[in-house]
Amino acid sequence: MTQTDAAAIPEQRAADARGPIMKVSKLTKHFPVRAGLLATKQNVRAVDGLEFEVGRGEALGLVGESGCGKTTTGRMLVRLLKPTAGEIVFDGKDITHLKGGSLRSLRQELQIIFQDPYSSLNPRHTVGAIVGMPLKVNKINPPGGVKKRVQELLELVGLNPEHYNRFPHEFSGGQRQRIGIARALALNPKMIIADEPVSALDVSIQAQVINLLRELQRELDLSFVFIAHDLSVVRHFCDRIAVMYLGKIVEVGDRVQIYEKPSHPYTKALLSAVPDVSKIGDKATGRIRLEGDVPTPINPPSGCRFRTRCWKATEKCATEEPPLVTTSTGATAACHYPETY
Amino acid sequence: MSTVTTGTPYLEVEDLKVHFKTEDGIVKAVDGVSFSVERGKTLGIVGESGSGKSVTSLTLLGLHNMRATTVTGRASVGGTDVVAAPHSTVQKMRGKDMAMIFQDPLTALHPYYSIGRQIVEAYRIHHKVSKEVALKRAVEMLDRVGIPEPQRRVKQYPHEFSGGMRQRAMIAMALVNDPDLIIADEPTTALDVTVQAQILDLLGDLQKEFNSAIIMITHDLGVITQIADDVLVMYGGRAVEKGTVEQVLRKPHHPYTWGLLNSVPSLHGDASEDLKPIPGNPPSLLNVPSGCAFHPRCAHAMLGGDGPCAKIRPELEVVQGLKNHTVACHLSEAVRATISDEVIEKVDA
Amino acid sequence: MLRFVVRRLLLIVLTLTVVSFGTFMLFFAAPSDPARILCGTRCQPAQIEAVRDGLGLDRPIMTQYVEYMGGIFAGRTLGEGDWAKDCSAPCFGYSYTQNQEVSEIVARALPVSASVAIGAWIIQTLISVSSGVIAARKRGTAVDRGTIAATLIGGALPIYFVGPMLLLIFRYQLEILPQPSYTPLLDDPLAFAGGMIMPWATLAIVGFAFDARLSRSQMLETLDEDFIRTSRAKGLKDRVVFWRHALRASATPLATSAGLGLGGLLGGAVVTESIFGLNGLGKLSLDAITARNLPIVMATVLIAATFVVFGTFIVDMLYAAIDPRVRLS
Repeated sequence: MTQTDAAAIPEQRAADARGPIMKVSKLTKHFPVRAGLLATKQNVRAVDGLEFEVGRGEALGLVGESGCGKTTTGRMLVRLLKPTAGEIVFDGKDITHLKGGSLRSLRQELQIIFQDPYSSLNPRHTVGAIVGMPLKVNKINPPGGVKKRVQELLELVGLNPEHYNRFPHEFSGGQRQRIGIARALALNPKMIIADEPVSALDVSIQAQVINLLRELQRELDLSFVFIAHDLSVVRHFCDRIAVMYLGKIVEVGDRVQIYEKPSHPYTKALLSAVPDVSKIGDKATGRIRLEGDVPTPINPPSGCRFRTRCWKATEKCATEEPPLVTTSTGATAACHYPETY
Repeated sequence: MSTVTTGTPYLEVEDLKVHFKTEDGIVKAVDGVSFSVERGKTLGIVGESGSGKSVTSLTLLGLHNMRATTVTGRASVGGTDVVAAPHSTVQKMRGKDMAMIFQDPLTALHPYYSIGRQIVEAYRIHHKVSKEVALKRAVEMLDRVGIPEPQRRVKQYPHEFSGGMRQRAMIAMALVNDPDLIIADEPTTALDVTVQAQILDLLGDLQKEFNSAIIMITHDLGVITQIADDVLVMYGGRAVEKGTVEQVLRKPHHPYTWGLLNSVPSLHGDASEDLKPIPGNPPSLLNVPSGCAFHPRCAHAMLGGDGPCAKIRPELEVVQGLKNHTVACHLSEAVRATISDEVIEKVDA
Repeated sequence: MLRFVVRRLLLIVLTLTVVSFGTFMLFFAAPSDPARILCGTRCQPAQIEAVRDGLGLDRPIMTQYVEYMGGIFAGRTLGEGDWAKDCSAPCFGYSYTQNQEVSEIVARALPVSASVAIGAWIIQTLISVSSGVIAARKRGTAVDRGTIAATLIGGALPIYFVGPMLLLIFRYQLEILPQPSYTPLLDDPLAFAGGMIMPWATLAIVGFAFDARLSRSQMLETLDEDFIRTSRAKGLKDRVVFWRHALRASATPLATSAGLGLGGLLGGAVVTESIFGLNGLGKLSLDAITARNLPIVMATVLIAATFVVFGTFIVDMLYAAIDPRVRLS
């Protein structure tokens, strides 16, 4: 495997001596719902006890299918949602319970980019106003003035700075996502949470935006949590990947560990389901087909949550929840019977 | 059900044009597209937003916006030209001769009617049977598309189904009248990958069983490799490359196809290198670039001096030695063949 | 479903409690002499004394409120000794200027207003929804353009213009309609309808524009939905697609608008009654406000609030009947 060497370079960057920029422990979010006619209140266990770290300058990928809790996690990380339990430490500070002014100043250092470039920009504001808004809200007057800073930002994300006075509808989807990125960068954040930043874009445009984000990460030494359902997109952007299933992390590893030697059966099945452009006609051979759908997070399966769809599941999987432990590949996985290579 | 014998295409589209009049000018959503599909075969139509791929399929069923729209050309479905046929004829063919599966099964199913009622309705449009008989048929179809406990689920509403189950129900409804042509418009785009795999397998199995012709519209080349026999690549309302999956994805001859193959992130190869995106944006159909619509984004465009790319619109021409493989490009065949090999080498890395 | 109904009913109780408490505070805890205000401007000193005594205004406001509310449900004795008066449920207090129980006065006015409001509501909803829906069906045709024009005109006309114009034309010029008046429905249905037709027409004309436009745009919006395209793709005739699938899907917002409109019509009825000289709640509360007859104002506010809240309740029930998704949540 020739790519192993090349892929190892980002890992070195990840191991920064300054320690992790973000450390998450036992992060949990339960949404109360009432189901059925009886008055019992139940919880949607959207996120259930996440543990992970993000190194400085590192891009951590958070992948999983719908309902796995990745989006909820992203919103908690920037404190758009309040965690039910657990702790988020960002840059040495516990931000789990921040309120009011200190929450606002957190937003200067920790930003989020959303999926939909159409609805996340106010159609009645000019691009200049949108990108400059974070500066105005936080009463920051950059050297040279807000306008100059906004034009620098537009240039940085590959937009024409002269389009300062245009409105969002005058831009294409990809350009709108660039505007969103420029807005996120306005306050010089240390870290960006990107929630499905390219999934609403055309294929030919996705690559443009991924390249832009990679470039920004290198130039500005940004840390990222990159949330996506598309495994190939994540592979091209992230140094380390955490795979989520039903509110839990089932495996964390670097690019090689996850994509070439997946330890957890779910990771393996997920990869196997992605159609491969270079393989024509092998419609059935060597593919793992998961049965059924993801179970409801209101009443997740006992023990290992993946066991209802897993071909390796035994009695033990129903009774004992597997802990996240280091596997033979060096990754961390929560499985009683991890894959071996 | 159909009088067409195997071997002749069930669907034949010739020089189809769909133009809308808008306040800003004429939108040439589809501008001269030809293709055909045999029973038992799947044609994949690939393109980005605004390529005209969805309008093409909606036009076949007469479901496009009729206001201020002109449709020309010929589209023969089982021998009937649906472009020339009166509205009522096309309406009677819908569901029976040609059925459609849509992208988002949540919005595509009526929220207030049970799954069973919607399938029963679809069946009774074309079969004079009692509701009880139709309901039995609905249960059978749900069972056939792999929905567990069909007796119980037939009474449920779309919101009580998961995304994958809804798409299965949608497929059951489309197939209830045993249509000869199935048009699937991005049927797996709204689904998770593991569910996408299930649905693609299901469509493949059902095709074998019902021997229907399928048009699979998608932006995802991976989906094409899994399910299609032939591919049509659309750009700016026109076909730029056409051929078997093997030809188009293993020996691509159009710069846009190269661009798509290069820009798609893959699960293999060197991930530390930047991706090679196609620069610029897909064209507006109001103002399609002159000559070859792709020339402003093409790295190989011949523009200066006598360069034809911005001046002359290339027509589809046969790629020598490859039967059925056609491409619309001014580059010389030798040049294209060399670049094609380079592109594929990268894809396989 | 039962849970859903029970929860909505509890919500109604809560809303009405809040409204009644707020109104009570506003009127009875006012800084001026409540007894004088309660009694009205043309009140004799002896009567003021009676009010003060009778209502026990020196007692804590909460106690007074609880007694007032208790009176509505169980009846109560107003005042003590010589001034004591028996007031049976529903007791809204006593109008000292008219020397009558408030409930008796209200009971005479309520049927009039209810007839105006409910009748106008039925007519308005039927006409406006059906013309909006038909306009959507015949989109772009003369029918559609005619409906839009009618809504433009109707929307620009105020009640105090339409009412007198109708009177002028149909009562005085053409002399084909009688002077509006109230006859109980069960006594003489024809006279009831004849006496009510002009108030109904006035409210329906003024309210037509909003509902008709809403129905039209709602239908057009629904026709753009994916599931409409699906039903056409199944091979259904356009007619069936429209009248079965699109209309059913539009029913929820239309029911909302119609249900909430009932509350609004009560407000319109107040003005209409004054124009046509009908002795309904509108006229009653207007008079009561001018005369500062607070027990009556209080009672009419409570009745109006009940109307609005029950309108909303009906909408909620319709929602559940129409939309299977509501039944579960």
